[in-house]
Amino acid sequence: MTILINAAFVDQAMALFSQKAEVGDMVPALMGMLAILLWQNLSRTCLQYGEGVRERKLKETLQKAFLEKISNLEYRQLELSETQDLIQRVALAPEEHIKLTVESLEGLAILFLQNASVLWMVFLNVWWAGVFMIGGMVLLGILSLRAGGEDYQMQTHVTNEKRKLEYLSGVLLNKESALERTLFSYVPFVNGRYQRIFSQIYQKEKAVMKKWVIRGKTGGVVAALFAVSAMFLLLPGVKEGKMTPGLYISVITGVFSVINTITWNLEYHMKNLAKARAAIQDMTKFCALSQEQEEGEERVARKEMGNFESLEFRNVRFRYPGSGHDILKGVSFRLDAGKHYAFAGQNGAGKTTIMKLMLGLYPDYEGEIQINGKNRKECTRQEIRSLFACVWQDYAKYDVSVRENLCFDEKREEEELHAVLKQMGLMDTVEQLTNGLDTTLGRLDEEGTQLSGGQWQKLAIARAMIQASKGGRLLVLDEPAAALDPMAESRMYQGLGAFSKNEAAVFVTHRLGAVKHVDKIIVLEDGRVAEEGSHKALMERNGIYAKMYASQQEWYQ
Amino acid sequence: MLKILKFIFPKAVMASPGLFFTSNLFGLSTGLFIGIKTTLMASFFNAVAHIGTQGDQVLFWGIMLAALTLADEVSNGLLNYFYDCVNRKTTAGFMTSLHEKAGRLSPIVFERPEFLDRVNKASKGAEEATRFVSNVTGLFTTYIPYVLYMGIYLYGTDKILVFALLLLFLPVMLNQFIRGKIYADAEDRAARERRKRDYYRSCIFDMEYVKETRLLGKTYFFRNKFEDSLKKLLNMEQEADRNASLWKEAMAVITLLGYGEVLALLVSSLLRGEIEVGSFAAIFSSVGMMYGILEELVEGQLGAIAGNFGAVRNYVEFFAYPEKHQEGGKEEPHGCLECSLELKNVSFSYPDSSKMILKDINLSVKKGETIAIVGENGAGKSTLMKVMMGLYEPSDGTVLVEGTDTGKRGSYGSISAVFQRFQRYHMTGEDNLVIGDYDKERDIRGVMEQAGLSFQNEKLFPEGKDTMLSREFGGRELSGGQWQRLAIARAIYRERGILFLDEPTAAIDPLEESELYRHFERMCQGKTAVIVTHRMGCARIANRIVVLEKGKIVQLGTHEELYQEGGCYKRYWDVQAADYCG
Repeated sequence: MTILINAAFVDQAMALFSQKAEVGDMVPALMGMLAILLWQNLSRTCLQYGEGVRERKLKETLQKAFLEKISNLEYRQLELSETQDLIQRVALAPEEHIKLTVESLEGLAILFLQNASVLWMVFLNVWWAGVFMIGGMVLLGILSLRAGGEDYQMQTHVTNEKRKLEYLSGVLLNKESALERTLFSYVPFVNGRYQRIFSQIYQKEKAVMKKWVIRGKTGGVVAALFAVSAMFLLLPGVKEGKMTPGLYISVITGVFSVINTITWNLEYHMKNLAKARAAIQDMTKFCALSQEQEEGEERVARKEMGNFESLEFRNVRFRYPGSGHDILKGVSFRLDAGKHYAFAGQNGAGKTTIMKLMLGLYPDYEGEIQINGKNRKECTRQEIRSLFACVWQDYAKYDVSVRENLCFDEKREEEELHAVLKQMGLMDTVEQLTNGLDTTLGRLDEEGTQLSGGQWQKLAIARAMIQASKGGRLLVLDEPAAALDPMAESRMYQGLGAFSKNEAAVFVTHRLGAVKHVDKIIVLEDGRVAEEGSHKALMERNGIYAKMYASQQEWYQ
Repeated sequence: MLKILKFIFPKAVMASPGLFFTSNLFGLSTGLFIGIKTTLMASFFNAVAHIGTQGDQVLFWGIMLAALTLADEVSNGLLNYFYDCVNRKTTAGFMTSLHEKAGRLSPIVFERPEFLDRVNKASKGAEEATRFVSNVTGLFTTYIPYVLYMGIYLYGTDKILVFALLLLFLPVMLNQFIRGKIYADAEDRAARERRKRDYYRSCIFDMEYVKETRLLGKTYFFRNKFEDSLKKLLNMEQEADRNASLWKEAMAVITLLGYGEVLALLVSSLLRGEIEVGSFAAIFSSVGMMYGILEELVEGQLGAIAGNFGAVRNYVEFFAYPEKHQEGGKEEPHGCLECSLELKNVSFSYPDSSKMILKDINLSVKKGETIAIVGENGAGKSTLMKVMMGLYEPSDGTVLVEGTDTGKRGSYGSISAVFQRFQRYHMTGEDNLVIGDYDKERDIRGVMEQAGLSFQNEKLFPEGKDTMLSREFGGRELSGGQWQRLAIARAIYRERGILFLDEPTAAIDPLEESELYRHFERMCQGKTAVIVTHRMGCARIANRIVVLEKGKIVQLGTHEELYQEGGCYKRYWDVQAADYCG
């Protein structure tokens, strides 16, 4: 369109000049031209705005959908660094990849439409020049696409190195390492490492970029040659009067703009398309990750299972995926309702693994685990969950309000929350907060309050107590006092003791003195149960437990 | 704007002077080529309009044009290549400076969410700054030479035309200015919400949270929060987009009306016989092209510059954050391997908080003496330690190392430490040690042995000291206890006059714990050392014990003295010792 109107404008102006036409004849062409420009501009803005709206819609839908997928991934999948990588790569901003795909396709389509009219005109006048130009473009397209694929391969190759860069940058900028960073004054050292890794990546990328340019420009030069030949080949037509000079100028301007867009845009879109294609492959890989089954509500599950009665491990063997050796080598024990137990043993003996297995975090193990006499493999996630309340060694510190930290969106009586907080010795702290229970914790908000390590741990225990407040659950506490001071620790154990008097509880701790009153202590060593019995019995046995106990006792004599 | 340019340009040039120069050389040639191409094209078309009358001129200009088109292709390719190269280097350079700056700040500022936002924005701004630099240099090397060239060319034919064209772009420029402001403001508002959104999402899959979130069955809770946050973010974006689009269209209409006038002007000059018909065609096509290029210049180039201006400003402003001390780099350690440490009337409160965490602390640690600090959670033990180390500057009072006031300089050049939350560096085993004191050569083997580790242990370190300690980066992971030992080894590697140990045994089993206390005993022997602990048995290692309560020292003395004295200390001791008696 633009070309035709431009041609009309030039031709008419020339006609006007040679007195062949009236001044009035100019007006439609001029108006037409302005209208087209305005339309182009307006439609471009609308297109951009529309793209923005579409992009946001897409962002919302995709981010939600991908998060849903993430929430349903099997726990063991999440423990793998490849999965975490994949999530970082494709699942947090999936719209970017889709956008890239759509944009590059759209860009190519627009490019094609823009150029098709010019090519058509060339084709009409000198058909074989048109054919040559189309051939050249196709060739260029294929070359760029191939280069794009290579680019992506190189990208995945350096992704690992790039993550290292990001990690080092984090060490130099984050809050967590601020103390060591300052004390050790290691910024120049880590920055040196940063630069070294950067150079390695840079060398690799440079090589690929070189290839890119050579390949891309070979195509560009070929296309330019076609344009130039079209320029000469159309000349005789003008000479012979088959083509008006206005049309010739317009066509050649068009041909050169084709070359221009090819030089600047075709390569770019093709490269992006190839990148997008590879990212889509990643997305497909992510979507194929195994998922846990959708399940019903916990309340229903609870009815199904009733209260906690017993938990039994029968000769359970387990190894972590990708690990060369068994972490549990045939573990057997039984926990009954109403009793207190403690797990003891050296680091790496398998205590935390047993907890995770109990709670159904890993589906694959040998031997049998029975919950309330039912095979664990036949229980749903909800059913298992409904029988436990846990405090983990690496308890979560949720940056939400105190109330939400305790019971999330569940409705609980104010008195109940207060009672538990009091029991944990947290009530004073909470009362001092500006908004009491509704004070936001953590650093997400300017108004957020930061708790100390000990306070967070107390909060985590309080959370489990509230979860278990209706009774009938097995309370599992993994090193619950690591961050507590002596008085708080003692208070915590007393509080927990009173709270779970008639409930089942399992303590996992290195502080043997604190748990010596439990009904049974199970001592793990090297993936097996080495000893079990009451404190008294184990002391008499004079085995590992007695040795561990004595080593701690020594410091208090 | 000027200040920002003045700040980032030297940095950009220094990142790779050679590449910077080369890439801009090609930028310049590309700009000139486009200009020359336009005039060649005009001459060529002029010749075409007179085709048949002078014949051969067409061929001459045609060949010139063809040659230039090919040269342009090549120059363009080289430009792209060098720009890519220089941009990578520049980004790395910007990041390095950012890291250095962050290293010069007091660690206390990292406790503030407002500051963390700034860090976040600044590191995002580093990449934007690169784009900014290449856009600005492109403006000067490619666009301005071209516009000047064309301006001179057009000026030769019609003066008014040039001014009219330039005038046309005033509204477009104004639009870019407004646009930049709209997006920068939106970015400022969105940063916090984005952090929230990312956090809620991380509660669902991050290893720090996933186990608990799942077992509590509260995934949906965080998903709802995430969705709320996302919605808010998208609304902010929508609003900014809408405002920017409206402004843009309003300005575009004004510009186009002007463009119509310029064309009318052109026709009228033609009619009045001021230009001939060949030039008319040429000028017409150059006006079109000039308009196109100015549009690209203003919307593309200036638009991009305005668009990332906000982010670049965030980057640059970060460097204005007040520093702890003027010069960066390493603190010179005190010459002696044992230092005394004294606190005089030290009080401390966090900035922007009126609550005193430490109140009027007076404490003198003699050369070679070991002090233990005990007290309840929240009594201020960790803060006291950080003030003693010089990491936090006391609000009041002085900290003296070897009798000299450390003042603003901080005393940490003379200090080594194991923190409660020691870092697990995803680096090689050797780097994990060396990071503690990187410019000193030390006997790594001996240091490791003191912490009960050895790089010769192939089960732990299959590649010796070069073993990468991170599964994520293709290495192996250590257990909690092993990491703890490595942190201790790091502290030993950093041989300094005063040693701090903060509750270092949380994740360690009983036998190992006893072993570690013995390590500590040995490490502290004859050394100035400070231990913060909840384990009263461990506190006994110390020569003297400080009992802290609500930010004040309530008891100070040896174990025996304090036990006799009764009070808090006896209470703590009895409660823990009871576990191991009878």
